Amino acid sequence: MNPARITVRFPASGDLGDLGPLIDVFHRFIQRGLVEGLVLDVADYRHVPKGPGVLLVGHDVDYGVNEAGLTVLRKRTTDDLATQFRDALRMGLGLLQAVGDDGAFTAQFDTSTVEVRVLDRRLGEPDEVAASARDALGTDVAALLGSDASIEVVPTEDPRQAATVVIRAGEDAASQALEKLGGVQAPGQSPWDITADELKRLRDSDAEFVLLDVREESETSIATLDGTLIPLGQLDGRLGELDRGAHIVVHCRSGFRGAQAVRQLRDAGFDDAWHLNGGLMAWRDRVDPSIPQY
Amino acid sequence: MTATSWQERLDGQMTAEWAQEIDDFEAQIELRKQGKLDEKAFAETRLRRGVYGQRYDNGQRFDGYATRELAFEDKPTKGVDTVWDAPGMQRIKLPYGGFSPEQLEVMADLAEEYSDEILHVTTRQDIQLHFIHIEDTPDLMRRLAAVGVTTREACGNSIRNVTACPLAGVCHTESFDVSPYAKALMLFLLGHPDVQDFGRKFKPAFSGCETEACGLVQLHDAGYIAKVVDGRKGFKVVVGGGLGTVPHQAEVLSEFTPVEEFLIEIQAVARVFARLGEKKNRNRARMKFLVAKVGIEEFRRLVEEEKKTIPPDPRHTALVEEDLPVTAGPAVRDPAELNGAPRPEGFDAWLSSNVATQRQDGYHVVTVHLPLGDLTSDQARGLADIARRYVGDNVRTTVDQNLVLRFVSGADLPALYAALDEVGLGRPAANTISDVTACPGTDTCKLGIASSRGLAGELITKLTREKPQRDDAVDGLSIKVSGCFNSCAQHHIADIGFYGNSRGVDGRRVPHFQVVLGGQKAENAAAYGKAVGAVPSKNAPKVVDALTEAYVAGREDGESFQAWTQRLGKRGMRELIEPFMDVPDFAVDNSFYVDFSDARQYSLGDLGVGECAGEVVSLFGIEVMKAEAEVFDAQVALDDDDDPAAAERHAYLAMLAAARALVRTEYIDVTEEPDDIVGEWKTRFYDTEKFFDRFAKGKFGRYLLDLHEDPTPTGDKATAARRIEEAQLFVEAAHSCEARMNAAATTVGVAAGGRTSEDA
Repeated sequence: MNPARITVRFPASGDLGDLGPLIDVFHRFIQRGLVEGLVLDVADYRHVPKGPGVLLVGHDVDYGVNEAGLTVLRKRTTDDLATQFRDALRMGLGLLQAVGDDGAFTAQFDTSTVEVRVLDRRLGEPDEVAASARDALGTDVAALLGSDASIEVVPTEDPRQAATVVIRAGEDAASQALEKLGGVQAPGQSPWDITADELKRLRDSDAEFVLLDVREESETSIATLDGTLIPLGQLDGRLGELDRGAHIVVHCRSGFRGAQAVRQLRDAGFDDAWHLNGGLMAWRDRVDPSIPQY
Repeated sequence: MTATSWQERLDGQMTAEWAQEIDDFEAQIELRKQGKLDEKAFAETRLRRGVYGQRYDNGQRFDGYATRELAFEDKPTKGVDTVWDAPGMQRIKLPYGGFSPEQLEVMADLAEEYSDEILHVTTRQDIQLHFIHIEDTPDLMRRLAAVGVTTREACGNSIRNVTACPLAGVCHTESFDVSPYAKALMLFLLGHPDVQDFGRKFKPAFSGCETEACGLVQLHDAGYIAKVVDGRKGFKVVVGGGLGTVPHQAEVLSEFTPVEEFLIEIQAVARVFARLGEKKNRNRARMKFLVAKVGIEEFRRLVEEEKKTIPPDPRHTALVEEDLPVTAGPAVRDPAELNGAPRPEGFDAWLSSNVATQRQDGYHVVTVHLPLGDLTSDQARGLADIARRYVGDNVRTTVDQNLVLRFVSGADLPALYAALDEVGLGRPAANTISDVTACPGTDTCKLGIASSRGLAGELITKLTREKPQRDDAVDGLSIKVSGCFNSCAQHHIADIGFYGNSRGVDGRRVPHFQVVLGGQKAENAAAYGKAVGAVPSKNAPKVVDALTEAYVAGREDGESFQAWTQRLGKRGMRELIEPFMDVPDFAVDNSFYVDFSDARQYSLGDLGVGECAGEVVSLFGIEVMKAEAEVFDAQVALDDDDDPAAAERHAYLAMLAAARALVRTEYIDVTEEPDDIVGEWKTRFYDTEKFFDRFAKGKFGRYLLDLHEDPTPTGDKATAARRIEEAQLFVEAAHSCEARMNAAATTVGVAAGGRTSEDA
């Protein structure tokens, strides 16, 4: 079975409260590349009762949080159901990890229950489609969520509803599943991203490293982490000022220039060069709120 | 388990003609994908099937710090600067807003399988689905066609959805039920050869009576008001109304056109419009400009002449024969009055705001209040069940983005309310101040400047919370919010209207809303509100408070909001909003620099081009509309307000806006300072002679240079009239200049052997 789209849903653990903070969180995810898929924009449907809530809309995936839980919609792929399920599961668990890392939205989701809906009415009647989906997913469910995980057809009370199966697994099965699926596969802003928390720990340790600021000089008067300043435009010509073997962390304002800088460094043989995802603004969000936004 | 294609599944379930049209469209999609169809031709084709572009389909998005390229795959475009894989919008055309439970269920499935599980009701009684991929649209259309719904000519330069009063057939004040005639007009004109060559869209509307608001015929290209004369059914026919940057009230084409003559008459109108309407400058291409240009008497004469040349067509009368099927459908429940049955919690409040009696004794019209016009797929299915049980086919959309159920038996009201509430559709306060209308705005529209839905959502929450303390006089007011000056939320006819714009403050952009006050919805939208000044978006809710408080305190006995604003005058209204016009510095309060329901620093960085109908609008096209609006304001100031000085100021601003629109095609960051604008414009367009007309040379350009030397108004009427004329000519010259530059760019591309002008 190769459905046009499926959803994978994790129910909320209790009342999720105000979903407003997710608007900020989701915009950060887009800006910093913190979730998988080509994500485009954030849609606010909080005004619709029992509606989609807050949606992170993408080309190949939508992530939505409403009072019922987190829904990952996998779309625009011709893959078979099992592949779509694995992708959507990884994407959803990856998003939850990113939400946790971000910290601004603290509600919890029950990852031991996974509801899968098949949204393609060309396939036939919902109960038949659901039975077929159950059979198609059995192997993956056992392999990913443990042999004691169950998968059942949710009988449709209303034949207009989409075919649905529900998976019940052990408490920490989900985190193991994420590992088995290759972990979080968000692109970040560069392949060498580190988080603001990681930079903080690095600074708090005694480890020696170079913090490289690739912003323009005029920006340093607004805020600075006291790194070595080499504006991105000058980096190529001033590589000689840096030690190829040194542990380097690059940052800029929001991560775009920094990502280009770390690529330049890596290409030039700086094998221990890293990049602060989200730049100074991520540092502001996670470590030092006194830094002005600009 | 394998899928059977929709084409196969639905074979034979629609007319051969519709099936063929959709197959053709699917083939065109494939051809365009292979680069074998011209992008502009393809864009017009898809628009005429209701397949719109959406925000970010230029492949760019401002992420809060800079405008980024979105990583879509490199494929042929689906229109100028329109990325193939970028999500779009599908408009579903519902004549007079009517639909059946079965059709609603199909739309619910479509929203789930191709969109985001939201059906959105528009201000022209359509339903839209957003975030649609173009390759899904043929199947989507097949599934609609199988239940008798078409998306044909839902968009594009053609006859748009035919709207009608949602109470048609059940209303107390109507002359007769206009729905069958709305349907006849739609059937007659759909795909008609005489409506394929318009310079711009054409919107018809029907009203059952003259006094109520529901049909809004005065703001339509063609409006029909039901009338019975000597026992004959017919219409008072008006033409040339419209909102947008330059709003017009429609004028009377005919005091009475019998129903059997109304189709040939609209055919004649269409032919005249196709022949004489503006084609090149889309900003002046609507019917309203043609009617204003030739005058209504001449237009009437042209239509009469045209009628004589139209060959006989049996459909002219066959579509309106006496035994027209009544579209309302039979009631499914017996009429009865609301009795002593137990009333669920919340019922009484809902009853007072959402339920009205209808002409037929024992039956009621129930408004299903949709927040911002949205309902989910599950709610739609729930509503289909409710409709089947209580009202049959009687569901309609309204221009206020709600739904109405008609022929509800009074005895069923408590059970109906409970059933609606069960699916989250029991919201009270329909048609009150908290029932805010909003266009899509920056959420999904390519033209959106400020977040109309964001502001509307904020107002809904606030006004719902404050309901218990509210004065009754305020409760009945209306608020409508458009994301830009194009007035898709019909802000001109609200008591309190807003439309989005932006201002530069502190070296950054700040989202603003222009406040438009005193519009009139009654009598088919008989008067338009006036723009009184722009406030930062974040202050807009405070403006609503200030206005409503001042109204409660200052109104005389029974004085309407509209009458109160008239008494106050434009100046008095401005005084009320002035305290809210300032923007704090970014360092003091940066929340003003972020729009509602957003987290990004505000900018116009998303906006590449917009498309609304037929062709795409460039950034210049958007900017120059401000100039057009200024010219209009100048005219109003002179004609209506007898204020030549204000007229002169507007004329000057019009020229500045047009000059700035040109400058921005080369230098996006030009400020709004007159010296900067004129300086940049002079260097780039006047000194280089780019602005020069082949015959008039620099004549129109001198208007601005001369006036800029000393723009102080003289207060002299004749001078003001001349300046308005000059401003109009300057704006036109700017249009021509931009057109010349475009033509030049294209020519270079061709001469260079198909390469782009940049390559050359």
